[in-house]
Amino acid sequence: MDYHNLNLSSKPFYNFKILLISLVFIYILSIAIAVYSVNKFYNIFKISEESKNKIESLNNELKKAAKENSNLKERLKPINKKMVVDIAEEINSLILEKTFSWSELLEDIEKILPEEVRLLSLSTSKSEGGYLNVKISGISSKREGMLQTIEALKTNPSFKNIKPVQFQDEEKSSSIGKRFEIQFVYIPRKGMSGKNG
Amino acid sequence: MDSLRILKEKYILFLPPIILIFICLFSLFFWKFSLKDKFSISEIKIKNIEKKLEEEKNLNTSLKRELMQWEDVISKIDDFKKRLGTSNENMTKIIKEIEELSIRSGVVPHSYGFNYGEKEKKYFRSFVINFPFEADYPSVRNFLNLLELTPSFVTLNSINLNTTGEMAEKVRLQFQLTTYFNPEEQ
Repeated sequence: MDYHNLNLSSKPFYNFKILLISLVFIYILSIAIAVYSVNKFYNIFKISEESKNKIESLNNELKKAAKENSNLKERLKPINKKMVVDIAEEINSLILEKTFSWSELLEDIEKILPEEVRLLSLSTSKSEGGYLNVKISGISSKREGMLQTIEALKTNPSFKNIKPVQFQDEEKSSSIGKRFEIQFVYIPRKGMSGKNG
Repeated sequence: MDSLRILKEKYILFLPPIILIFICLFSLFFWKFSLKDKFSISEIKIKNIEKKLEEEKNLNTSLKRELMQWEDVISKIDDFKKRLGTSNENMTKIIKEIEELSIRSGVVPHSYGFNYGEKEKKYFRSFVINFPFEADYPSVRNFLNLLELTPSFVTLNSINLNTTGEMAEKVRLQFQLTTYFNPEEQ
């Protein structure tokens, strides 16, 4: 026998409170989860789009920087660095010769030179530690003239690295005396204050 | 029991929200365990590019500084070369200037000896001027002073002294001056 379940009431769910509550709860829950998911995925794709744009702009910036660097390298390439350094060193040695103060040297030598010693020549030679070497030759009536000159030079701090080069007794020659040569580094007072300052 | 029966009968009403919840949870799990790695890869990619960019920028700064220093040195070298000029341009000018300085200080040489290339440098041609003269000591000091102050590039290399006698006022000297020129272009 067929059984037909017919609900003829005007409010069919009115008495089904549990059904109603469950339905409302599950619909609200599903809507909340759906909203959360949509929001989450919207944010994800938004971030993904931003990342994509950021990667693109960073790549562009990187290409630009790399291009600029290659241009700079191209500009540096034709510079013959070894030659430039050589020329600069040569110019520095020429400037050192030009700025050497002969007036101060003569003034300082005048002050300390022993009475029995007479200067014959002064010359400069290759530089030593940024200063020029000076070679003086002199003649003395006494045998100890050269040593006296060296000791006298030592009293002035402008004379450094004083070395005897030659000593020659010339009693047999017409110009009687003891010839000698001394080499030193001359650092003028201005140069000293410059180095210290 | 009645309620359970009704829920059982009306289960169809629960299907749409349950399917929706299932789809959402599936998507979230899929994101958590599969897509998230892909997104973190893009973060790593960004970090790598940023690192490379930083390196390129550092290189750029150092290259710019290097280039600026070399260009500065080269421009100073060029200025110095212009100052020296070539022997064709400046030789007579230098001799004339030395002559003028000697006249102004009262030191007049009777003869000059010229030597080319004695103090040769690799990149500059030297021109050596030797001149013996007789003068009193203050004039010599005056000449030295003028020589040090002159803007032309003339350097004094050696002084040879010879007093004319024990009590002589004048000293006999020989100066060796050197000036440098740029090599003539072939």
